Amino acid sequence: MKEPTEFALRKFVAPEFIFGIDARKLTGRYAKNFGARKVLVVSDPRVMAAGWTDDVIACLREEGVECAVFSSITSNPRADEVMKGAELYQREGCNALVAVGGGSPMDCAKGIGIVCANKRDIIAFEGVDKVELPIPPLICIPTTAGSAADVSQFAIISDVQRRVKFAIISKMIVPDIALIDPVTTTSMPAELTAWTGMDALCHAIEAYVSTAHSPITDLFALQAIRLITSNMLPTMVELDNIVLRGEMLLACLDAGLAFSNASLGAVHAMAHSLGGLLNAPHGECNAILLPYVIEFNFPAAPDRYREIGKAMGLDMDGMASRDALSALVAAINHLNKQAKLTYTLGQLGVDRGIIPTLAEKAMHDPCIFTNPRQPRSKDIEAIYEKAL
Amino acid sequence: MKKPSDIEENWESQREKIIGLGERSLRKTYYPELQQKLDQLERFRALLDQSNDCIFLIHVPTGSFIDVNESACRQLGCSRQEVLALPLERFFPEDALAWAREILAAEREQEWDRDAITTRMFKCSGGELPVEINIRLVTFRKELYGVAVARNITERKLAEEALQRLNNELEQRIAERTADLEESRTKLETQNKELQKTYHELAVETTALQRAMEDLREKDRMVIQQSRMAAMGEMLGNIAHQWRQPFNVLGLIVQDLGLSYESGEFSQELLDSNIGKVMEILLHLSQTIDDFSNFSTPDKEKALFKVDQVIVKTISLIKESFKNKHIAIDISSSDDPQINGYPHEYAQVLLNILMNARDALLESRKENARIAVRAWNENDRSVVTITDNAGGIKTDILGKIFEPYFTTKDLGKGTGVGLFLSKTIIEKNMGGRLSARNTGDGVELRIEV
Repeated sequence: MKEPTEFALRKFVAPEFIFGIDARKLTGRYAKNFGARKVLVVSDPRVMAAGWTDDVIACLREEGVECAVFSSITSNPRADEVMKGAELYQREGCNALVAVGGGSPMDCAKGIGIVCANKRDIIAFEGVDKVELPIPPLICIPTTAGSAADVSQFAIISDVQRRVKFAIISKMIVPDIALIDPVTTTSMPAELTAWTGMDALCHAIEAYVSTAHSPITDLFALQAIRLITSNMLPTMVELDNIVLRGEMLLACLDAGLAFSNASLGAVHAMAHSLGGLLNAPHGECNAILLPYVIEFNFPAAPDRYREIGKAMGLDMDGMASRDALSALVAAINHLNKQAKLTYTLGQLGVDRGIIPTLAEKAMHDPCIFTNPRQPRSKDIEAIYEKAL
Repeated sequence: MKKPSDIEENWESQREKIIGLGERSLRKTYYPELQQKLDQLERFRALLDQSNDCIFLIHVPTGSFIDVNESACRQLGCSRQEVLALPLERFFPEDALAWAREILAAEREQEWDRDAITTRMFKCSGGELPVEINIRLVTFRKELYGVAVARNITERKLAEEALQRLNNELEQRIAERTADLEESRTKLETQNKELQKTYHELAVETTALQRAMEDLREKDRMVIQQSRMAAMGEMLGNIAHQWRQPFNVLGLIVQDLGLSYESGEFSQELLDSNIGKVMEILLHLSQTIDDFSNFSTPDKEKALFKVDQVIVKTISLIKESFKNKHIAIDISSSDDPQINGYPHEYAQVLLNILMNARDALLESRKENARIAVRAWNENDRSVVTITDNAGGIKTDILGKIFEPYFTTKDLGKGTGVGLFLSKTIIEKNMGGRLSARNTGDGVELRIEV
């Protein structure tokens, strides 16, 4: 029997999206439909090198839409990069944005849109619902199957001066259309496929156990978990398999729709903290932290974690809680191991001395507010220490 | 340190927001902004429509109107659809079209504004709208447009026309006035010339007059001189009369001395007595000379004199001569009249009249020739009348006796200036009056001063 709390108020926001092979080729048509005269194409060197950016630019040109390209982006987009992009956008007289790439270019494009519409420094928008004016039309063409920034209301920006990654959460920055094309993910090497895959799994798990979850988000979260569990490792073997890539990208989309509405939890809060301080790769941090956070959170939502286990194909019926937790953590560790994600935080350069700082920052990350178990700083510190 | 409850509240509210239940948790929408822009646009459109200027947007590549403001429709009497459907040729005359085409032929915006031209636009309702128009090229979304702003200059035209009219009137008036002035000037010039001519003539006349006056004066001087010479002649005669008797006496005395000596009666007493008598007579003769010379000396200045004295003195000069000719002179005077004037000239007048009377009496050979001289005051003036009984003057010549060079005397006897001169002396010099009239048996000359 469901409890009345299951029907507490929930909202579900998703952008229009087109999923499928060659979806990217619709960029020109959409740009035109949005009234774009000149778009700023935001991308990164890796995607540029893979040729997806040029692919998209060609589509735009075909429709008579002019382009300016901004690709000076590091793997975690920095505030100053956002500001530079915004300056370029204004200087070039653009009136729309197209992001081609993974989480970094997409978050950066969102940041550029915020700055151009609201005329303030990007740092001013940290937090929830701080964006007042709608950003220009934004078309996202994801080339990884991880961040799901193409469907989310999240943008994660690095503040180099404060050495933090801060989250901007606003419905105003949900893209106008996501053109989700499995073809663009085929250029990912195995390692990146693993990192982004584990990121997506984290999204799904954290969204599922989030205190803001809803019956709708649950559907997407569990489906994402299922798809990742069964397709991630095979994809790493068959990088060109468009079906596997499609499954992984679909999983990423499902996870994105789930976490964008249900939000995340301690894994992401702590990963953001690590990323800000050490510029550590987001996917790796997630993968390392996930098992320890599950151990911490499990008592607060045992049934939900059991459902996750089931989605991962574990048989936990009648299993004691302690065993169920152990089985789940083992399954995740197994996945990490198979994906060759066997690092520790120590290997990423984390020193015991900075743990209190990391914990302090994580405690202020918006993602922490929906963690199923409300941690204290020392709880977070303890998790970091375990992950060393 | 934050209390756990605070943290929990914070967590709860943050969670609510993340779920999307915050007040500002809105899906992206451009509508409010769009609405704002539309309002702005509507306001701006109203502004353009309310402008008095007709504003046209011309699409350069096609050379046709693509937008027009309300004011243009109103002033041209066309609907918006009409304006947008009709070609430029329908609205502009050929010269304005050529001008517009030249501007629109540019391939991009010009950095400078072309000067506006003044032309007219054809209304849909017929009729024309005088306008000042300028066109500026603008590029919008890479398309070139011409923004034509036509300003209705009807009022300005009217004002200009009124001004022109005023100007013309003014010019006309100035021309008229100038002509008037020119006419006046010409007239004045003519008058001036005439005046100069007249002046010249006058100068000539004046010179002639002056010369004539000079001549007259010269004549007068000669006449006076002649008169004076005649008078001197008369005087000499008178002196001869005056002196004959004393000379006779002197002769007797000298003879008496001689006879006395021969008879032996000569004595010292007789000698002394006779010397005394001779000296007395010589003194008398000398006195006579003084009297005559005084008489002929002209007066320099006016002086107050007694008329009676002058009469007595004058008559004393001629008494002997008149007696010799048997002409009696009666003198009567009352009131002791006095004159402020020239006594010698006055005396000369008296003498002249007396001489004329004598001549008339001698000519008439009258038995009891008599001259009456009377003097008195009348109305604050002195009056002296000299009346003879020589028979009078014929009426037809009585009016002419005071004219110069008029004489009734035989040739060589009179100068004809005596009475004229006398009248001049009395009337001009002394402001009096000299007149003549016939009495029953003679003439009365009346001197009023």
